[in-house]
Amino acid sequence: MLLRVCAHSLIVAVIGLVWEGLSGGLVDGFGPLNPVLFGRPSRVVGQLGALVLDPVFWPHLWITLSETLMGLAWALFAAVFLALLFVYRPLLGRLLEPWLNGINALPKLALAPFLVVWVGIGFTSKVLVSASMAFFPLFFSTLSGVRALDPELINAHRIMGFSKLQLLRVVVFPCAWRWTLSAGRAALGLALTGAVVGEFIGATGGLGYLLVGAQGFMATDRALAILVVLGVLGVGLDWAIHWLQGKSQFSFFQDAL
Amino acid sequence: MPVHAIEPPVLEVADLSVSYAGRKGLVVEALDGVSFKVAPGEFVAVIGASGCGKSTLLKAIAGLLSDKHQVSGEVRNQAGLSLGYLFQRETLLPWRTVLDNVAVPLEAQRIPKIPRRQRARCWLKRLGLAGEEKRFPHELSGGQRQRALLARTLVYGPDVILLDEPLGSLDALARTRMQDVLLGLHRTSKQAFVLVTHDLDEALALADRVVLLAGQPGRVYREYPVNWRHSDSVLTARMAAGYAELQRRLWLDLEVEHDAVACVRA
Repeated sequence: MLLRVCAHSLIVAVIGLVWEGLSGGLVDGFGPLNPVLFGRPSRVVGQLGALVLDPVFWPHLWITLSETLMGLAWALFAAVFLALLFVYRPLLGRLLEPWLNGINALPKLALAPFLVVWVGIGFTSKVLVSASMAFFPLFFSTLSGVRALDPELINAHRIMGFSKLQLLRVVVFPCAWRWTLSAGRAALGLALTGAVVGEFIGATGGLGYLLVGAQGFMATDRALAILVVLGVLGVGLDWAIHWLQGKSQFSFFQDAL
Repeated sequence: MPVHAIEPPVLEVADLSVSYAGRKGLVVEALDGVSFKVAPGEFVAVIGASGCGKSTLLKAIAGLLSDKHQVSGEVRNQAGLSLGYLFQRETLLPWRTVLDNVAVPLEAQRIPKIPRRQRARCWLKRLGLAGEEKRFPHELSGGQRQRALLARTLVYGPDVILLDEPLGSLDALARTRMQDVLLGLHRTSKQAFVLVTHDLDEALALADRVVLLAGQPGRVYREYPVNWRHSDSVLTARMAAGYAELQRRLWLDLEVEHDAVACVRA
């Protein structure tokens, strides 16, 4: 553990030092990279400190975080609902499938400007962009999970007198849940991207909004500091999903190895 | 035996024919006019070669056939009859412990958690799985899993228990043990058993009556009463007078039917 921390610190230090040197931070004003365009690590760190200490900054972080989580939640809900619909109403599923495939093939971010125009520059449009990004991996994965169910497992429990709704709770959900969660990491990254890009296009707050603002003023160091915050946010959420996956995994796969 | 003739059957299969659309829209006939009765507390074994519709027969009795199947004839149950079903494949929930797996059927009856677990624990103990309650299905041996499945089937006290080659995947030793367990259960309970198998010895050792299903689609070829039902283990049953003779007769009938089907096909 300590060795790993040391190794990664060293990598960060080397990159930072090279960058610092190239952008003229070591020999004053002497370097091939223009610090106005490329930033300078020492100033980025200073900006990061300023951001964290600024009480105005935290609500922005909260906006992006809640947009991402809301987007993810809606995507999850829609994905599970539609996956079940596809399986329990195959005819409807066959009707909807080409449409979903078509929308999946479409770059969802291209929809973002429309959504912002239609729904407004507030919270809802970001949630929609975020959800539309996160939906597809969750949906396809859940669908595979429900389809992979052993019909004999359902039959065995049906004969005990469970209703269809109870069967969902007892057999279908626990089985499909692992599949859904396996797409969780991909969906999370996409949800965050959706929220931030949505904020780029038009917003009144959020990290993406701050980022665009900073870039607009050529405040590269500040923009880079915001990028670092976004990175930390993304990694933190990824860890959360990873932890959930670990909790819901049965261990027999590990046993087999 | 006469007792069975007097009592009204707990289950009656009457002129049951089942067919379904197979690949390329070809109609596959699985069963053709199958009729037999099961008296309360009777152990009936249905034997036949693979593909003569044995599993389909059990599914039809349990009402588990999908709407792809064309069914004529009927399955008459006594009112309020509850069924248990032991499947060929393993159907324990991998994310639940053995105890919670065995307690699942009681969940369907909305029995609260604590009595549910008590009853499940009791059955696990009866089937020799005490101490394995907290383990997960993949941590058990095949024989233990099969016993857990049996415990799950028995825990809610169904009137008729349908067994679809439940011991096919076990090794010879575990199978004999399970057969003894089944014999003991049948002797002490009033439940009726319908066992589907292609194992002649298993059928003869366990059943009160053997129904030979033959052909494609499957028809009832003949029924054979079994007279040594008082035995308490598979081994003593095998040594009973008349066992070898009946076994030989069943073999011959199976062979004759097999050849006949082969001729029709050729």
